[in-house]
Amino acid sequence: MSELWYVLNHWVTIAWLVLAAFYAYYAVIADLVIIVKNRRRERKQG
Amino acid sequence: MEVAAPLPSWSIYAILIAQGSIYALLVWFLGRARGKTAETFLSGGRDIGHGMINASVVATWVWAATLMISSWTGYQYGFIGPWWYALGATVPLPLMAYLGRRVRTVMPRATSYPEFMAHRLDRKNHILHSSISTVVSLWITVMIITGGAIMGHAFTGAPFWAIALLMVIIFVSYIPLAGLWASILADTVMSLMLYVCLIIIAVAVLVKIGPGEIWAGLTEVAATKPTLQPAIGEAEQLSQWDGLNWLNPAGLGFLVVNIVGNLGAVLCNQTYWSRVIGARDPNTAFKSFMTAALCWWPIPLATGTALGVAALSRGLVVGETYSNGGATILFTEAEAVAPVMAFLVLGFAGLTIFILAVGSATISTGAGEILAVTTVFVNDIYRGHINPKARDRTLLVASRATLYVIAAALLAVVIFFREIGFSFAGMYQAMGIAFSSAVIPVIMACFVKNTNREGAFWAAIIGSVCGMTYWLATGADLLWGVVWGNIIVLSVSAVIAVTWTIMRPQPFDFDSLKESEGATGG
Repeated sequence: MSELWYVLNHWVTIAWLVLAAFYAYYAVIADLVIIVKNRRRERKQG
Repeated sequence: MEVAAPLPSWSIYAILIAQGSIYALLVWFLGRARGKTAETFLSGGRDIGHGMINASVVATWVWAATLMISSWTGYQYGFIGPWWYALGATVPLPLMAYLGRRVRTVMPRATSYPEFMAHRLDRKNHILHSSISTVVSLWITVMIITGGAIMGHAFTGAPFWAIALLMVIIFVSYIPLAGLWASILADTVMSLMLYVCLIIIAVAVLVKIGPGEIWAGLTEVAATKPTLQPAIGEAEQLSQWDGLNWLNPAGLGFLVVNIVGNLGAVLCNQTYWSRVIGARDPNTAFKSFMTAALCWWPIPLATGTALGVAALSRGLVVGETYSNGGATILFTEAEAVAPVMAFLVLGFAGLTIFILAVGSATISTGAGEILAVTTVFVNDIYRGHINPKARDRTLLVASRATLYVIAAALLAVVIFFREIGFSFAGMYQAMGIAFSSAVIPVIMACFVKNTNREGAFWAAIIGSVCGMTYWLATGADLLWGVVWGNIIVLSVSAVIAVTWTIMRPQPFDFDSLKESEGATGG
């Protein structure tokens, strides 16, 4: 293994972690938006 | 030499109490309505969206071991260790996505996976899988409470029993309010917090040490072959000096152990099936487990690389003390490499962040596992065999009572094991031998319409007995004995279940499960 491969390996692990965090936050926020919209709709319908 | 704990004892209490209070308040304000019937208590209402299920699967699948052992693999096997750890533990999640979608489609009203087995196979398989699921969850909970409390004690000096007691109190502080929904909501918060903690640590290692310096350190370890763990054997030391070899043989053995063990820990565990049951529909369950695999993978990978591989490159020696900013820390055992390295990189802040991450991982998994045991007991044992005509109110009371009883019993078991000096070393690696023999029968029950009921039953039992016998015959060897033990368990159970099914097929109509409900089927 060369130094370049190891450095690439290290960067990939961190970049992947950041992407995963971003997706997890995005998906939870999308869920919350749906929940809030549904509650508003239910209130309007009484 | 006696070295004082680097953090004050109140810090662990503060971390745990703050977390428990936040979850209890959140659940009380947002979801206590879900705790009004036994159906919503145990199933979460079956309307939870993708984001929360995804985050929940990630949180429940991050154990303290995910952070501690992945770092240990980086320290023990070099850069490939965290890759193998992450790959081995990720494999069950996509598989669970297919199984979950299948079960939610063919039996939409199922509340637990043993209940599905009762209707799909028969009564004896139901009892067997109820038992396996219960043992798996209890095993995991004992392991994680013990691991979390040992770590908390080592780095803060707080008494072991006090930390274990506090963890158990937190489990039962918010779960009884809304059952599965409470567990999934708290998981979601913990998962999001966990990412922040781990990104801080990983980026700190990147900035303060850097991959170039780590690479240079690894080449030096490979060249000079220092003794980093005086207590281990020659074979293990050789694997540690081979830290730049992606075909490191011991690392490949660990991959096998990890895949087999984790298949059992997920597929035969009601905790993960509960996330399938709580999802809005079969496709939400499928998508969530698939994305959870991709979101979970980098957690042990980045942690193990940042902390474990960096520790190996720096030549940290077990038994030595290390200093940072005037404070010292004792590197007691190889498995504790992650918090030691976090301390060396970020000082007290690093250690606190790491303990916060481990605390979150422990609470989310522990609470989920205790609820899983409760679900199986109430839904499959109590309603299935003791009181099939129980009313919803009775089931709800039974659910909450079971939660408290199991929590108290677990605390007693954890403290008892600690008092008698029971060693948990190897328990993680022995998981597969103990219960992964049930994996093939579960997969066949879901997808193979001709699955033989006797074959499924005996495959689970004989597979485990064969693997356990072999492993014990090797003197419970944790290097290659455990690898072959895991291979034997899976192979024997597969051969028995498949052969029996081919010789005596028992056709089954999956459409008959559409209206099935309750665990009295079969």
